[in-house]
Amino acid sequence: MQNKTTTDPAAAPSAASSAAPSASTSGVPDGFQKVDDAAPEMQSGEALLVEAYAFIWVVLFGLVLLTWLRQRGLDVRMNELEASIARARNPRPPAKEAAAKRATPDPADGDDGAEKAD
Amino acid sequence: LKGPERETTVHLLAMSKAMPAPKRTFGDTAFPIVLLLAAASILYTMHFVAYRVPIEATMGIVQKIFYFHVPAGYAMYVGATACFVGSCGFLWKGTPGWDALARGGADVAVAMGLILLASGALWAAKSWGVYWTWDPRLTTSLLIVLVYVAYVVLRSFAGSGDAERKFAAALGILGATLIPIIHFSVRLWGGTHPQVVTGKGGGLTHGDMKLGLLYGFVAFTLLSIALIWARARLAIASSRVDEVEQEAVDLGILQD
Repeated sequence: MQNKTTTDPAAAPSAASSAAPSASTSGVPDGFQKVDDAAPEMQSGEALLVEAYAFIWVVLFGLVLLTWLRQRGLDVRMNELEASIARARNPRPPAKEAAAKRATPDPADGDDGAEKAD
Repeated sequence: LKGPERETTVHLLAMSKAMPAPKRTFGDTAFPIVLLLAAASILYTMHFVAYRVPIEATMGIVQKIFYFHVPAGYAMYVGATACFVGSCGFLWKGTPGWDALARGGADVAVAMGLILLASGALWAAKSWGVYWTWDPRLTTSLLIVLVYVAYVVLRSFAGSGDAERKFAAALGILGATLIPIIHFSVRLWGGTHPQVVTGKGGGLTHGDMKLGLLYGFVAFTLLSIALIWARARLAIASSRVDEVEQEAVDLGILQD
């Protein structure tokens, strides 16, 4: 920060003493004091423009990415749930039992057939 | 087919009959088109602003923030309006579609509001020497963003019960009532914020400056529509998953 009040050399010591942080005997500042009428810091317009555009892109990409990730998660969850519900409503006959039925030579003697298949 | 393969096939056929393939709707086709148009128009606007729009004499290159800052403010209005319409529709009809529109609108209002505030602060750092001042338009803009942040937080963490939805809908309507206050705040209370677009001073003297702003408005209109649509689809899908989960709980597949 620049101090406008220090432009007059005669006034400089008093202004500097009021603006500068109070220093201890070792010369290390041990406190802060505000400076009135400080000139605004000059900022690079190019840097600010790039920062603004970068922020816009980060927000937009972030929103799109979050939406896509959440939608994908919901799709996976929905598929799992629908498959579970379908299985609960249409229970699939166990493959072993079905195979045992086909392997049975005599329908009247189901138990033996099942043993053979196993 | 013989043996277990046949059983599996029969079972899968039974499942496919139980779950008919969803029909492709108009929205399924139109949504990617809107999304692509939005992306293309944003890229074209960036190119136009960077290479065709002249640098402003007083402020220099930082003034080019304007071509996205103002459309972002307008897109925040679009999001807030969608949230208002969705909230009114939900309070009237009580259907999930209106609620999803309100949620999508609020999300977009927050995103665009953040872009508006951040880009404005960076521009102000150069032209005013400070990032922020308690100017009427800045303050009311911050207030509306905070209202929609509250809406989004409420919907994210307070559950999806009927009472929460109705409370959020009331908040969505309240937020929209701030739009005219923001819009006319400069005229009503003065302040530091300029009136370049609506004022008579007119900062857009060059034809390419006007075109740049026009492209910005078109791009952000398409972008806000695409984003509201995407977020609303997400809200509908989320609501559908909740329904199916409840169905699974009723069938004893899931525990409540």
